Amino acid sequence: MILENILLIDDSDIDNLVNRKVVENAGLSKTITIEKSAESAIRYLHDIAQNDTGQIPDLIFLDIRMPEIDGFGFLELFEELPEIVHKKTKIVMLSSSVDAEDHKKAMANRFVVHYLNKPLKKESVQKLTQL
Amino acid sequence: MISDSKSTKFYLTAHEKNICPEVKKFLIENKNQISVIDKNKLSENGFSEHLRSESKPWLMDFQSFGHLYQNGSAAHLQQLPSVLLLLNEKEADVAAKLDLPANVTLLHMPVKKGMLKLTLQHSLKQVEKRKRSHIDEEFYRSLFLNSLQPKIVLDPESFKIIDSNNSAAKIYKLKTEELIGSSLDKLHPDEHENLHEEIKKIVAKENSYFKLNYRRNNKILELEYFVNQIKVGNKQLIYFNIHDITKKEKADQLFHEQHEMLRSTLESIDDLFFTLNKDGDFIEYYQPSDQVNLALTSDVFVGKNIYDVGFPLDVAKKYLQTIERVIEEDKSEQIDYVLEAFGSQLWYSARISPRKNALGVAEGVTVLCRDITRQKRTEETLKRARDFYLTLLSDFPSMIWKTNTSKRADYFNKTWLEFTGNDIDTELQTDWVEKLHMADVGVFLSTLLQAYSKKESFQLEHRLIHKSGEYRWVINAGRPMYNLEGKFAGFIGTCYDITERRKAEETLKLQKSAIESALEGILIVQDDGENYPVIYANKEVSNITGISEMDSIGKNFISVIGCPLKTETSRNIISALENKKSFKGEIECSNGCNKKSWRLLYVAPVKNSISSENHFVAVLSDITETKAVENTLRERNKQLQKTNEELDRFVYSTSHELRSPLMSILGLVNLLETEQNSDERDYYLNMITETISRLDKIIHDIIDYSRNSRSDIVYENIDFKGFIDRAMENHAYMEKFDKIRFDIDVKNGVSFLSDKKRIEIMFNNFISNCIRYHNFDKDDPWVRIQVKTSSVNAVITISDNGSGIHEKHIPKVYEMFYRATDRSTGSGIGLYIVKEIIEKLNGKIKIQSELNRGTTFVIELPNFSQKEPKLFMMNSVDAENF
Repeated sequence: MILENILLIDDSDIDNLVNRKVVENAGLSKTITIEKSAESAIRYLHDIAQNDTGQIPDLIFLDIRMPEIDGFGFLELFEELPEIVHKKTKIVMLSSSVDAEDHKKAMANRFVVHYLNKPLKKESVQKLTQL
Repeated sequence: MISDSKSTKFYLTAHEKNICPEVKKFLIENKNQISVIDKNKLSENGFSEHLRSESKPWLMDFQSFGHLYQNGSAAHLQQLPSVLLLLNEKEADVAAKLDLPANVTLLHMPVKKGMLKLTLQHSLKQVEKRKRSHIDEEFYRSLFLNSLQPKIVLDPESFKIIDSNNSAAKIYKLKTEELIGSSLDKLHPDEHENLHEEIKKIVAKENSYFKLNYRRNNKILELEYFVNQIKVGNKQLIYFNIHDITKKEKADQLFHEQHEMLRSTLESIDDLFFTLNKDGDFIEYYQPSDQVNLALTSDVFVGKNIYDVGFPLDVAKKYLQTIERVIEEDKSEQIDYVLEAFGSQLWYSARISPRKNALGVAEGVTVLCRDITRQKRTEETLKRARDFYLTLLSDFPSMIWKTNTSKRADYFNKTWLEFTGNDIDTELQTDWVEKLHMADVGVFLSTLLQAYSKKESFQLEHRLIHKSGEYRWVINAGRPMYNLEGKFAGFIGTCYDITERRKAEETLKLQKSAIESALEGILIVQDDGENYPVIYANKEVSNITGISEMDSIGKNFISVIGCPLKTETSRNIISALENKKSFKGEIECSNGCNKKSWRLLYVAPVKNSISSENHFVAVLSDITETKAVENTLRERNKQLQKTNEELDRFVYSTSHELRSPLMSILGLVNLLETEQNSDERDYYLNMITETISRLDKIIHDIIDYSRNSRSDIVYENIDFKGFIDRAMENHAYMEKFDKIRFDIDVKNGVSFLSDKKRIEIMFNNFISNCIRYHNFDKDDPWVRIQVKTSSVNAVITISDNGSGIHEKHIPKVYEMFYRATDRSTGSGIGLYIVKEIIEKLNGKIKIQSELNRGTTFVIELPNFSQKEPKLFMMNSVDAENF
């Protein structure tokens, strides 16, 4: 199945490039949006929830370690978002952290459906389509 | 027929012819034995002295006899030894009527020859008797005359003294011839009537004694007259024994007194006195009136032999043997013996001495016999008492010794001997020196010497050799001893084995000194249920509490240990004391000057089997320092925990920071695998290179960080200008480096000492940050670095007109791996390292920043050339420790 929208949240340009390329190559989504900070990502989601619900991503790839607001901070802010976002969007954690604590903490969140380690691979993305 | 030539001439009386021839013949045959009275002769001389002394019997006829008789010489006739009177029948009748004296024997004619013979024999006997009586008479006459007792014979009718002896004459101071014939009343002219009266009484046999005074010259003699009436022939005479009692009175009195004295002496002594002859016959026997055996009076003994008076055989034998010896050796002896009397034993001691007669020959013995029963019983009792006390001493359960006046031991009791294991002889021969421990000999001997010289009691502890061979401690107490006469007799003493006690004492002493010198305060508290007074506190207690030992005693326990009252701790302690339970806890005390101290207290009830009182023992220690160390430790622990957390975070962060670019590279590599477009591939490879250099930078930073925290500070002269230039050179390759205007102003006037490497890292980080985070949209991006050094410090100011830091990020800029913005490509370690270095060099850093306007850092570093190396070293060590 091909998703409509995917949102990538990562502060690293290289990682965003890599992730976008892998998602494109896997053909997972029709459109890919990239946000370089948690703050801008929340702002974006808030905007589309208000104005263009069709753009609400089906899936978010969320990095954990980011300046100012990290991945977990984003998850907290995500709670504040309108119900419609919550209903549609599923979150996949994408981090270079191999810390079990991060994994556990992330999986405890109701919106997080999966936890992937960087670098993102085609096979991992393809598996996601079966969810 | 009777011839007479002097005295042997025969005279025949008128009756001659009547004498038958046989008689004549007999007479002639016996002419030596018979005298014949011649009538003529008689008529001529009467009885001459000669005739009277004729010792033969007289034969006379009645005519001759009559002649004599009629002449009144009957008294003379009587004096003749024996008269044989020849009578015819007529004459016999006449004679029968006469009162004839007893010496006249009548012979009736005719006289038969046998009769004559018989009569003659009878007469001869009479003559013999007469002769003897005549001798007697002379003897008695001589006795009378020579008697020292004055004697006179008085004719009471004429009052004439008819006979007297010489002694009597002496009394009257007259010659005997003068006295005889004189009148008694004339001798006592003053007592004429009295005398006559007395004599009358005497004649009347009413009296036999009187007393008269006799005046002689100027002297008056007192005379006693003892009277006997005698009859001489028909005459009644008075026979006086005269006593001159003028002197005798006094003598009498004296005698009487002496007698009385002797009697009372004999009576007063308890002794029996008796005399025995050689054979053991009792001669005399005197017995004191109060003698026990009153039944045995002298009658029982006198005249009897010692074997017959009821003495036991052995006693009697002993007496006889002793008597024999005493007489033979002429020496007194004493014998003791026992008699059974009245069911009890009576002891006697008899002193037997020779008894001598006038010639000094021992005829027997005198015995002074004393009843010594009481003495013997006393002796017996004494002996028993002595034995008893000796046994008592001997069996007494402590060791007893005695020394004589020359300090030598002369007695040890059984207990002593059991201790030393010696017999008494060995013990007595062993000197004190051998009995005592060598170390105690000196003190012992000097003590003994002093005790002897002062005669004072002494007491001393020393070691004494025990039979086991080991020395045991004894307490030896001696005191001077006096005999029954009160004379010093040496010393007597006792020893008690106190080894066990001493050991216990030593243990106790050790325990006491252990407690005393214990490094913790030890107190003993009396459990009186109320005040809990301290009864013992060791030195350490006063060290801890500051209260002297003296002041602690008797004070309330809680106040001594310095526990503040009415606190929970004090309530807990009191509750433990009240419930007799133990307590353990820490007490926070403030001792006046706000100085807090901590004490650790243990209290436990003492299990006491000796005293009925209950006690607590408390151990108190000052834990203020421990507490401080504990606090420090806690602090350090906290710090360590923080450091650990930091390290944890560092590892977490570092691993993440290192992994993150690696994963990016891996991602790019994955893309490269499938990317065909060469431009894209180059792009990816570029990115890979960039990421790798970023990674390298991170690693360098970590190394810098590590260097700062591990390596020692090395002080060198700092050339700030050179450092800044080198740092800029290092960063010249960086993109947009040349777009920045650097304004360097270094006033390096004095020599500045600090750590070269660290300062180099510091400048590198600053310059790298300045370039990385500059705002190149500005017209004139600049960076200004000013350095001002002094002898005290260096002030470094780094400012730019860069992007600045948002206010909210400023407190976090020095945190490790903190990146304020997504624009940054740094490792996030730079400022963290800078801050660490500045702290290490005892410097300060301040930041001032405004977003989009610029940032200014002011750094102040001390000049170590001016610091005392020592002070610095301390700081350094302190810093190291933290």
